[in-house]
Amino acid sequence: MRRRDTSALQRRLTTLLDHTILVVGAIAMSLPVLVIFMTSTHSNLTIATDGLQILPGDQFQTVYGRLTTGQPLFAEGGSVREMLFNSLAVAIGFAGLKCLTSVLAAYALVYFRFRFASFFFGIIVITMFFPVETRFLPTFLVTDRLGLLNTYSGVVLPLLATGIGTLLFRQYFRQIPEELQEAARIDGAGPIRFLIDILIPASRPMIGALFVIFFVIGWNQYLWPILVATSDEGMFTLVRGIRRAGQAGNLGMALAVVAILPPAVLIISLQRLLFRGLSEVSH
Amino acid sequence: MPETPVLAIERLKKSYGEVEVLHDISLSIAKGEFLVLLGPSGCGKSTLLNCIAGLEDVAAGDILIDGRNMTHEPPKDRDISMVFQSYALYPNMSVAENITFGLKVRGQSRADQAAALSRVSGVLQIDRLLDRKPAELSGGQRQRVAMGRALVRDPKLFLFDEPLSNLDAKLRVEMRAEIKRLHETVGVSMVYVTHDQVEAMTLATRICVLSEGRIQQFGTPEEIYFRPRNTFVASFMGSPAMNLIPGKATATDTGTRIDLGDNALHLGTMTDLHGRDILLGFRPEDAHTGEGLTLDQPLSVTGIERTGGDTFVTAHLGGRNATVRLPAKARIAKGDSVGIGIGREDLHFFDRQTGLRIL
Ligand SMILES: Nc1ncnc2c1ncn2[C@@H]1O[C@H](COP(=O)(O)OP(=O)(O)OP(=O)(O)O)[C@@H](O)[C@H]1O
Ligand SMILES: [Mg+2]
Repeated sequence: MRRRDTSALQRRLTTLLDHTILVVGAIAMSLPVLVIFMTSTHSNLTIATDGLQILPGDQFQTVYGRLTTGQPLFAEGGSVREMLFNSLAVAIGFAGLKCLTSVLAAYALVYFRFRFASFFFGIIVITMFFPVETRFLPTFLVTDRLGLLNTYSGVVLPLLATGIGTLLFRQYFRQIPEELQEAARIDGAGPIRFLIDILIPASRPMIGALFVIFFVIGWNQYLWPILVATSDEGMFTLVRGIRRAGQAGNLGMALAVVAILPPAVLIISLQRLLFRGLSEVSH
Repeated sequence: MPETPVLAIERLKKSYGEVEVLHDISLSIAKGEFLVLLGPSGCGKSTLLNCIAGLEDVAAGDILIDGRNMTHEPPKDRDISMVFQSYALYPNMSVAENITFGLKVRGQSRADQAAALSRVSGVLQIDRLLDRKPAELSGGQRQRVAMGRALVRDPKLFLFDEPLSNLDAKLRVEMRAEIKRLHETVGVSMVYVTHDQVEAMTLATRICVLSEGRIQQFGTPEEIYFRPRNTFVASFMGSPAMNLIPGKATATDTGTRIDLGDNALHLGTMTDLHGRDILLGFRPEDAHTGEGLTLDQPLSVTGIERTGGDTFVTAHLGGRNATVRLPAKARIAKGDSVGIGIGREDLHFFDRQTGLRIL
């Protein structure tokens, strides 16, 4: 009897500990977001003299009103709507193309036993060690030669060249039983039919999860979009706009709040898909 | 004129890289037969089946399906269908879509697909499941759907790779009966891989026993069970396994004496055996108390196992442990002596060096 009591107590203590850790973690993660939002509702004067704020101020209407007018925020142009559109174009373009190329590359690597497959896989994986930041100059040169400066393609295409998506899809495809492909072959389905009718639908959770992750990565791109947009303010993304408006002022902070929203909404609404897709890889 | 065999394999070889896993396989079956490929794990059953299906390339030899040489044709052109061990149902498609996918790919009309679907789902009693996804089915239901996918195309040859091994014991027996019924009613030709000898004995019209990529014996279930060609087949078939006792045969005045070391057996004259080192084989169920050709010495019981329906008795014989099946209610205890006799026709003689059957 006593034993039972202590074990019940112990369990409750463990639960308490778990939850304390989670709560502390959650606060630590969300506090900065809250502070940014609260600070953005204060006047620039208050921010300059008193620093960051944890309580709401009286400038909410003024600041956020400016964002919603549709008017350019800067002398050179760039309304919130324009920047949102640019950010979305980059993020969706990046995530979509990234998923597409990764799926195709992984499909070739896993389902076609061609010569030097592991060599090519190695090359693809090596690209992970050279993110675009490490190769600005040559990449910029190539983009320029291709006439892609100040275009969405110019922003998105050079970012695509990383192997992480291929790596993850390769692992995912390898754990799909080979018999599935054999069944399809006996049913008379060729490689393209198998890819479209069976493999991609069967990989939906994984594709969804990676799309979300790549969306966030694309959305948060900063340096490269600045470099490629050499002349045109119309190419500003939200992240770039924050910088332009000044992170220290209420407008920049308000833009930051706006910039957090789309990825947050996406992740929260696709949470289940995200976890399912990523947990399947590790099995 | 003899009928063309529905499947003929001639001198087939298969290698993975340098390693040859199938050596010189030849066999053929007539239309409507049920061929079981039987053997221990790793003996090459699945590989042989995949070669027949066209999922694997062969190194040498020919595969003829219904008289046509299919050795280098892709699977879809071989007029075969296959049920996989893992069922391999398409996870994103409903049961109905799974079954008709092959027809859709082949460009059959929707009306034909629907007709074929209703025929098959009727035979397999899966009408109520057609809208479900594979993940929402039990193991036995998945099994049925996988069979439906194979049946729907009405092929020349059905290939099964251990289709029942993922089911629990009771369901396995049920599905086994179902497959047998299918074979009898639909009358199709089947090639069926298993390592379960009971499945093989109950389903097959012909069994091919494989070991290490070689055919050990190819014959009817009766031939395989009652006239095993070598000691491998003899000990692989039957549970408990056949007793194989080393002995030496010599001629006597009255006939032939098999010297088993600590025991002996006297037979009518069998000149083929004289002077040879042999393995004397007999099945546990063929040994009886006090009937047939009786061993010189009674056996001293060292172990008893009662399974309910039978009593299995173990005893030392010729330096081996022999197993003998006695009636369930046999009154016997450890240490007892039992006189054992075996019918002449139930004795098997194998050469001890080659393992091949002598008589
Ligand atoms: N892809 C492969 N590459 C190399 N060797 C292989 C390959 N597939 C099978 N083998 C080898 O071929 C032999 C036969 O394998 P196979 O899968 O046909 O056995 P099996 O009789 O079906 O066994 P099980 O009852 O375990 O399914 C084995 O020794 C196996 O190691
Ligand atoms: Mg196998």
